[in-house]
Amino acid sequence: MTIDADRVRRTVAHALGADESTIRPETRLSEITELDSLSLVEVASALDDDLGIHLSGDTLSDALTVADLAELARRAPRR
Amino acid sequence: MRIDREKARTLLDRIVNELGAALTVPLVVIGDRMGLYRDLASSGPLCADELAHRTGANARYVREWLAAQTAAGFVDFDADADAYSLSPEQAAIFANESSPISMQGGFELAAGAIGGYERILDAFQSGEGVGWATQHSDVCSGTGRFFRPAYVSHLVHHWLPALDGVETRLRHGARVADVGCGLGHSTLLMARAFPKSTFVGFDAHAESIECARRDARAAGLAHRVRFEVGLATDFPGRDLDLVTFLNCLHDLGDPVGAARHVRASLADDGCWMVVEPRAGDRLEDNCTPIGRMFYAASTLVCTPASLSEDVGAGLGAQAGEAALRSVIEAAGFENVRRAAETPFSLVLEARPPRSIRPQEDA
Ligand SMILES: C[S@@+](CC[C@H](N)C(=O)[O-])C[C@H]1O[C@@H](n2cnc3c(N)ncnc32)[C@H](O)[C@@H]1O
Repeated sequence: MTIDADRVRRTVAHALGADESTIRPETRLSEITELDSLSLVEVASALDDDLGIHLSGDTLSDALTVADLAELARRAPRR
Repeated sequence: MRIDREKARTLLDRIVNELGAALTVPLVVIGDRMGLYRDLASSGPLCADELAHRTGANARYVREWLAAQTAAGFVDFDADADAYSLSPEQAAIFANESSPISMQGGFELAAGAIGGYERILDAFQSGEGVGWATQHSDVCSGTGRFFRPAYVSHLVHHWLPALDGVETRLRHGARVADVGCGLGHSTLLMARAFPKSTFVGFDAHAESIECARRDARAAGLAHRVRFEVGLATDFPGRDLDLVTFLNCLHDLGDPVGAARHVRASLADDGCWMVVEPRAGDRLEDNCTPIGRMFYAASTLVCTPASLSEDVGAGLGAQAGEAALRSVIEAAGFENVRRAAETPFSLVLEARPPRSIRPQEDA
């Protein structure tokens, strides 16, 4: 199974409590919410639980936009 | 003066909690070193003997440790099954090093600082400083690990983009010095995010620089990130696009001297980012849990470090924005502005004055 960028987008929106329709691939995570460490933990655990994608903290530091996250998710180890 | 019974009781009640917390500090470090949290997270629920067996620790010690951890609320205990486990939240804080809310570093730093208190006691009498190199090695590694989660969450996502035009330059290729970089966690995070830029991390402490170099090689970043032993007042490099000081300005003996040197090292349109523990300007503004933690660390680590160097300014880890600005402005920076803040951190952006080419006062 390949990771669908749109599923990542929806998972991120959901994890951050945002309306899915307002989130686009180029949206920055820091525009969605006042990004703090807990919101990053929420994003990571939603990707892990819902899509089986494991991203480490360092990887999360690199992902500025939803599209960055989808790209990292595509390359990340899967359970 | 008569003692107010109620006030005394309230304070005593709090102190029971404080002593429990203080004695838990080494227990958390032991759990980290022995892999107890990590094993509970990956394989729990486990009974005490299983955990001991799996980690190679003595069973009687592990049982007592688990009791202390359960009472602290750091480990969950199911009495019916006689089994211990970590909730996802406990695991994110105690077992997962790369988690943005990993807190092990704070405990390691605290344990190292407590272990070195006798040297600080001597220093109270002699007035001498205690430098980073003479602190317990847990202080350095703990400090790096303590700040790292905040950098993971904020440095690339929030702080660098808050500086005027800096992110674009980093994207296209900028020259950056990360000064007082310690173990270099911040340097490596920036380097990962901005592959076209080059980074040099400087720190006075040779052992920290050695660790940072190892990490850079392990991360495959050694071709773009160098780590060099260097002082904030004379690190090499000219025409830099960005100089960063992460939680180190207040540790320096001569912060104004460092600020002057930064000015001379920056390109005319370069930028200096100073990240410092967030604080109000007055003690009475900082009597919060965070302020309290920083004042304590500052008394045991940061202030002695500053007093061990030339000038010995001793800004303290809760200097506050006004004091930080006056250091920065004393070196001739203009347009100092608060670019960002989080509950723990204050991010200041400083620019060299327009048109005048800075001269270093030597
Ligand atoms: C609180 S630590 C912060 C380290 C790192 N920036 C971080 O955020 O994890 C302060 C650092 O400043 C370094 N330091 C102290 N005096 C220095 C000086 N004069 N020049 C360069 N580095 C210095 C210490 O060795 C230590 O690594």
